[in-house]
Amino acid sequence: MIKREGNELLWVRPAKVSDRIKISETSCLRFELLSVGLFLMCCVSVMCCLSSISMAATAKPVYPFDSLQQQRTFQQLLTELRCLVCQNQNLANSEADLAADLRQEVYQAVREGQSSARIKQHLVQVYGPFILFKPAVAQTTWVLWTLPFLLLILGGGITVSVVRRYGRRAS
Amino acid sequence: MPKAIKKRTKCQSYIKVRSCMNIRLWLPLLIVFGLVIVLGFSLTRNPHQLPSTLIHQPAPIFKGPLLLHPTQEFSSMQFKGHITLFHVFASWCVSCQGEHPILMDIARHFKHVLVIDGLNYKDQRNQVIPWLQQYGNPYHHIIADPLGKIAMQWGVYGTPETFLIDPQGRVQAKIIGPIDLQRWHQQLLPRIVQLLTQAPALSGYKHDKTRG
Repeated sequence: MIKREGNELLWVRPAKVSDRIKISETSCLRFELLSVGLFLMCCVSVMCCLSSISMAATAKPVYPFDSLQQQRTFQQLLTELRCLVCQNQNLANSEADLAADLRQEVYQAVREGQSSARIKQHLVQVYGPFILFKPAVAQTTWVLWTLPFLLLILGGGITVSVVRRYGRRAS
Repeated sequence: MPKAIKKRTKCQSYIKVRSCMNIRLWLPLLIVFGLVIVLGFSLTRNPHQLPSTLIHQPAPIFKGPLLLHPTQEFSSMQFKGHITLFHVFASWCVSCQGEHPILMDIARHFKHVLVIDGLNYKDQRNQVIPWLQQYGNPYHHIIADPLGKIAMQWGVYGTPETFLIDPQGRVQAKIIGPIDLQRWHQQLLPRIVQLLTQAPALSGYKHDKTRG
């Protein structure tokens, strides 16, 4: 705003709202902040209680093993097998019913002492090769496995030849 | 005389050939276009329709109690001698409900040709029996599988699923999901006709009175 000072006109920055808050008003603001803070704390504690209750309700079954080796095999297998219902998750993460059933079956097979390869072979026999995350390297899948490397070499070769041609032209 | 300024076209800067219709210019575009077509086609495929490993294999050997007569047992040997539609269903499955009228129709019109047997997957007797009373019972035998163990031998990963079993006890087709008219006419009926022409003695199958 423009202020007159003697014969001069000055332009003065208009006062901001925050400038006008007085000391007495800051105590009111502090009280509001305090109440908001208390409310948020209550919310967080309620959420914590609820989540702990829900976690207890959906407690996952425990898979005890006799040896550490078996436990490691089991956990490794679960990460390599696909849940067929939620097809982007593995058996370790999926919460589908079928995944729970398959986990139980794999657990029993590992406890009986079957090897990883044997368990995978049996599951592929029943459900098909899609249950494995890593498709087997066979005649039908060699394109899948080698194509990225082939494309990399091809692209690299094209890039190198183009760069060389540019360099020759520039020099 | 002013020096003739030779204009270099963009093509000639890259490739030492005069024509812009050189294939090397269009090759990257063609490659990408080809890739788009291939990947676009892959997008139309449904990853939930997994091809079954049981096709042309003998049906898994199993034994299970009948749902309606729990003291009696059903054995997979009973598949032999006639064409069977082995139908995995549950009362909690909404798609099964929608598919049921078609199944009742098949049971009614084809009762001298094939037999429909049901596998009640992860269900309870006190829920299935009212469901069957409400929607109808097309099944000759219903095998109870409350834990899903029998279904796991068949590679079942959802309901409903239907297996077509030939008179020798081999699985000939698998339908994943509800049977609609299109699937019936395109996938099941031709196979059934084929099986009938191979063994004409099958038509006129008289179903026995002991339905379970």
